[in-house]
Amino acid sequence: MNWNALLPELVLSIGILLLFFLDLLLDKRHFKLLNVLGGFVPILAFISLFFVEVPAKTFFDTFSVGTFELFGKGLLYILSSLSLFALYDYFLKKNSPYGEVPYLVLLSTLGLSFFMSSDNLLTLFVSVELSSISIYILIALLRGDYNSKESAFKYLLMGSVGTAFFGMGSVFYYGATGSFFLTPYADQNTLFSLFILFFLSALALKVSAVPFHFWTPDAYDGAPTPLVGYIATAPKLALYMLLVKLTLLFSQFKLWLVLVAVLSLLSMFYANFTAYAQRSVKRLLAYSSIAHAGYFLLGVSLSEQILQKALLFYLGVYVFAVLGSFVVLSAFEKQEGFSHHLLEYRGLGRENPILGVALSIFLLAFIGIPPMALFVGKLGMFMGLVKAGLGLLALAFVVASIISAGYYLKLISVMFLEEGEVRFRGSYLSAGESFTLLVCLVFILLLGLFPQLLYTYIKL
Amino acid sequence: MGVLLTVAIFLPLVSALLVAIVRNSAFSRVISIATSVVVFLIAVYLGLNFDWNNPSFQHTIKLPWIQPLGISFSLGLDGMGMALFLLTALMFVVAFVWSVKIEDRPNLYHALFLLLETACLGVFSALDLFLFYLFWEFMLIPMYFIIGFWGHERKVYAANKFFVYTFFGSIFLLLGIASVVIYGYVVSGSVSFDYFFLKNIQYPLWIQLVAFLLFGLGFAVKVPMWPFHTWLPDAHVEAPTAGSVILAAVLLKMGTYGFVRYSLSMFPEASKYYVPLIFFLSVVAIIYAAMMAIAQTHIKRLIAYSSISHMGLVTLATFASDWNALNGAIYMMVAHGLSSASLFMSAGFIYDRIHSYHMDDLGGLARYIPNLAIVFMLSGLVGIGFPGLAGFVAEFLILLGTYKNYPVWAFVAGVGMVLGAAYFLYMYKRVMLEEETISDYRREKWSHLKDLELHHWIAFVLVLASSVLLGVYPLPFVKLMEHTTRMVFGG
Repeated sequence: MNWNALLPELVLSIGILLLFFLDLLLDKRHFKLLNVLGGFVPILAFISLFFVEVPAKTFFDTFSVGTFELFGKGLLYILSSLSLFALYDYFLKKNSPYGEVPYLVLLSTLGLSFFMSSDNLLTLFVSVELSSISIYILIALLRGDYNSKESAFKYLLMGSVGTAFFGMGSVFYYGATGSFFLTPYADQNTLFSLFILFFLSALALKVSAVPFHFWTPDAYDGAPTPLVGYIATAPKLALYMLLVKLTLLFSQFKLWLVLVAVLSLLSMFYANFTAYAQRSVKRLLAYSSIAHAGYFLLGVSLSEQILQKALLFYLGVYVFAVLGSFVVLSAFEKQEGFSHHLLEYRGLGRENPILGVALSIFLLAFIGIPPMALFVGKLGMFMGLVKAGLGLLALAFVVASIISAGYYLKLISVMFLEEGEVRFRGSYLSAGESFTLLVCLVFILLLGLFPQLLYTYIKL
Repeated sequence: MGVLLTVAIFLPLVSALLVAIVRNSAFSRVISIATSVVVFLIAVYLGLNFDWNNPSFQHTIKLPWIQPLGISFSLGLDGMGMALFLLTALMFVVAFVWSVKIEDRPNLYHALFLLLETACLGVFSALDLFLFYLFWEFMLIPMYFIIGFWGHERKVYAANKFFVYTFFGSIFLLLGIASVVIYGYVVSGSVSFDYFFLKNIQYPLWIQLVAFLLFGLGFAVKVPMWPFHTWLPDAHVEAPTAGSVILAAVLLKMGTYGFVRYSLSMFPEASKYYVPLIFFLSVVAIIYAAMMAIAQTHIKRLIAYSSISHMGLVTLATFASDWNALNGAIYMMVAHGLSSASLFMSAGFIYDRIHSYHMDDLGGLARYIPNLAIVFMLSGLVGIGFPGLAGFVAEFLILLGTYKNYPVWAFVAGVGMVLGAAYFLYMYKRVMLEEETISDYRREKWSHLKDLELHHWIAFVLVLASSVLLGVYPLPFVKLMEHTTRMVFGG
């Protein structure tokens, strides 16, 4: 056994166990403490990444770490630490200080961490379930809230369908190759095509691509807002890491390109049009993330160094914009009776300049305006697509981005420009929320001007 | 010199941060004017040290920036860049002087204008396509909020329309940049966004054709060329006066600047291939926008349509493949910047005093505010190309150059200029002269109108004096333009 390769996962596991016992011992007054302690666990795991010797394999070769995995894990740990710091005040305000929150979030992180390192369909299955089940519980946390329960149930049902697809796909893979290990495979046969079909469907469901997106708006809408920042980012990071790996292995199959292109085109156009019909800002952001799933899927359409690197950069900065925007949303929600209706946002930017400006920066980043880092991601994706000879898909990406600009702008103009009755006056940030928000803003702005700070760590 | 150029570009950004930190309205006013004056003086100094016999970019600076992607911080000016840099620096002085009395959220106002200044100056001097796009697109954010915060009744609509239209163009531009960079990578094996590197690549015709369209779409929206022009009248009508001044004098020039700097220089064969298309669109813009201008009763809308018409002349002359025409096109960018700025200031002044832009509410104003009547007339004459003023030199060069290769199109462009005189004089008559239509109540009210104040005078004199200078002594400026023309056509 090579325990060194498992170092960050061990740190996480020990942290989870400690938090579990602390939750039993301490009473509700220490909810904040638990969360902050929980936030430090991924930081320790992040530090331990520097002591991992790569490349390494362990667990009978089902678990592997290389520079590629380290990159993903690093981002994942930063994300989950930041989300934990931003959580506590919202739950205290909602009068629901459940001590389960920190270790459930960490359990999900642990699952995703294993997921990133898995080279085997069985371990992939187990680790993705570890993460999903923790997230089902997290969504349902607000026990008194009908929406929370309903959306958790919807997510559970849809997630189970995804799990079924995942299992089915794995079976076909075993049938075709006689092994659960992901290895290069060139033979084009029906079994393998079925594997690609089922497996891609399962992953599409998890990254919420159309037509498997139905759970997303409901889950985002019903889940506790600060947790959405985690749910919408961390699993996606891990899933796209896997998709990139699969692309490098299997994208020579025509079926792969066709399926990915169809999923991606459907996602970006359907979601960008539907977003205009939304009245709830949380749902609007949900549709935005479906549209982004479409953009990201373009990045795994063909095996092309520039394209996959651009995708990982784009994804790496996108997750911080999403996390940041949900932190702002949860700060707004701390006002009594706030339900994220678009009308309730009227004048909020003028009343809370800091929160308003922060959210606007994230929204402008989603549109792709420099100097926010997402624009570099977009540029890289264009370059990769052109290099791969998929200029038409790049054109579709451009058109979809133009369509999307309108609804982000609508939110900005509602917050700042529109006159009329201002229903909600203001909100405040807790220390943890301001820290998370600040880190996200710095990431977005700094990486826009100096993308090499992240880009150099992306090694395929 | 490159350092000085960098300082000039980023000084407004620093001042914007200062304004945001200090949050004192008197401080913002003073520091904004001071910053813009310093930038203008630097620009003049750079202009005086510009050697137009030296056929290369000057005041250059090049620092490594994002090495893995071959992006460098590279700035420099050629003749056209120098001229537009001067124009931009001047216009921001004018804009800040004009808005010295702004009461509504002055700190934010000044901070946004300072940010805008950095972006505008950067666009005209960037020699790296990444840097260029950064400035080009960043400009959207301050302008969006300037229209949206300080505009008139339909400001939110206008701001959103402005943003979405411009973004529509520039995202295609981004794809265009990605395409040429990738082609450069395929050919040479290294990724670089450097302007000279990309310009010296021989692109095959089909790539030129595609890239020209992608770049051109970005520029055409900004110019704006027909049929992408509809955002401009709305944006102008709603924008505050200083916003309109910058929009007309500087932002529109970015589009035509892009055509000369990128489309024409990087894709010469495609530029010839698309001549019929561009001429068609330009001529439609010239004639159609002029006719639309005649039909307006809203003075700002009229001036906006006149801008579209004039910019049609610029795009027409840019692609006429003639030295004089291209000189004239660049001259027209500057001349139109001056004329439209002073026209919008006149309109803004009328609105400040009478609170209406509609000709039906106006008339016979020359009796009550005679000084404005004079500067308004002068501004209009610059626009319609009156001899001795900047517009004349530009129109003369454009007609001269276009006539040589394309006499029919030159004739149509000439018709557009006649229409220009028609709509301006018509507006002048309705606003300044016709006394019969105004009621006694208005006469009574207007008899106390206050004429131009000191800050108005300063702004007008700066603009109009430059127009006269460009009109009576065009030689150094034509030399500046020729510096670029020579690089484009070679020789």
